[in-house]
Amino acid sequence: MNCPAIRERLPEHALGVVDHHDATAIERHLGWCAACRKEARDLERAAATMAFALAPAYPAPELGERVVGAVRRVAAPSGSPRNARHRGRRIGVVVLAAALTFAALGIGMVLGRHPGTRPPAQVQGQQEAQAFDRFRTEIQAAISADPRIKPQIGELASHGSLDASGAALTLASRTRDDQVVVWVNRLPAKGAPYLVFLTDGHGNAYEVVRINKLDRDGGAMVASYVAHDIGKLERMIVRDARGRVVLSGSLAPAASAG
Amino acid sequence: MEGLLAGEDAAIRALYERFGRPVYTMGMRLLGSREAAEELTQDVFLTAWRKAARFDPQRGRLSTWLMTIAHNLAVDRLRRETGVSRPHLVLVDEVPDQPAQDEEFVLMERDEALRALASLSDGEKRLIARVYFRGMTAREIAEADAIPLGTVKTRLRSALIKVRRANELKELP
Repeated sequence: MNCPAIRERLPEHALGVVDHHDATAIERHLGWCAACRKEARDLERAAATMAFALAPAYPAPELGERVVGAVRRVAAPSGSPRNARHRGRRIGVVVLAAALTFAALGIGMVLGRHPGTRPPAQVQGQQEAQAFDRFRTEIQAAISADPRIKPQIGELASHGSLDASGAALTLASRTRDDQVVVWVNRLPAKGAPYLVFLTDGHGNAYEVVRINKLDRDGGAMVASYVAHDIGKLERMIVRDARGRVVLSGSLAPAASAG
Repeated sequence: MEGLLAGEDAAIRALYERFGRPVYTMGMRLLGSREAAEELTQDVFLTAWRKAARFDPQRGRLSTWLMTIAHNLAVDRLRRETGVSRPHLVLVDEVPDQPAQDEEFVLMERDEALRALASLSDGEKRLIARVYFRGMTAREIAEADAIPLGTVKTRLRSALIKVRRANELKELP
């Protein structure tokens, strides 16, 4: 898209309602066009004014400590002491914390933030493998507090000529909604939205989450609660908007995966 | 930001004390329940930590950056949960008569925001509110109101530029 086309979309972009395709194109354009980027920042600031104009709602006093604790757990090095008071109480937070650790310290750091200094493919593969190992350790530590949670993890390999990669985590539980977390890297923006399926051994596939937005490097992390019992679903498939399989991989119990 | 990246309690707490309430308020306004607003607040600060390395103060204010994260997460959830009824009014706790000192920033931001929005006509306020708070796209509004899509986009842009100019005037020495 050229500048006039981008600027036509910037108000909706600032207000957060452009579709994934336009958002990707806009972000890409803003990456190199300083004039449009300034316009975008100005409009975003104007849009944020709406948020500050709201009559204030008052959160529970303990929310602040929960937020601080959640960020601390994510930011803390692997194996650091965790606050036992929160263990098992909000598995969603634990999963998200582990997921974000992976995204920020693992593949996200390796691939997502410094495209200009991207390492050679072989080194990149090694770094991804190390990130995956670290992720597995994080997940094992995160879920050890709640034996009712059955985690499965797996790496996703790309199909065809794509150079994409990914990883997946599922958490099955008899007492809570099951959860799915998926990370992808280097997926082409033109293939979005991507649909993520879990399959069983009988050819049945269940759509579990959708990837609508990719970052500048084709990366994304999505998470979702799933109504199905996903404990016995053993394979993940990611399809692009045209239905082509772009990533797939087997899932295995976290304790023995890899 | 370095403190946030390092997971330092003081840095996280300072950020929460400054922005926790507006983020939570947005959650209440867009998602309509205390539980959803609390989840949103937590997700926003976790996302902020994840993206902290990308924040560039040369390109924009911290408040804009954080509230954009909050709004995007809230709208994503809102649009994912279409069909879920939401209250038209914000449910808020009782407002204390004497705000604490650490609320001063929030009150000033609100005062400035209200002044900036005063530059808009009622129609412009309603239009932006439908997009910002209800997650409606320009196309959806055009179809609902039976007016050309281009007209909606032009009005949106015009309204935001008015707010932007009001913000700029406010910042002049």
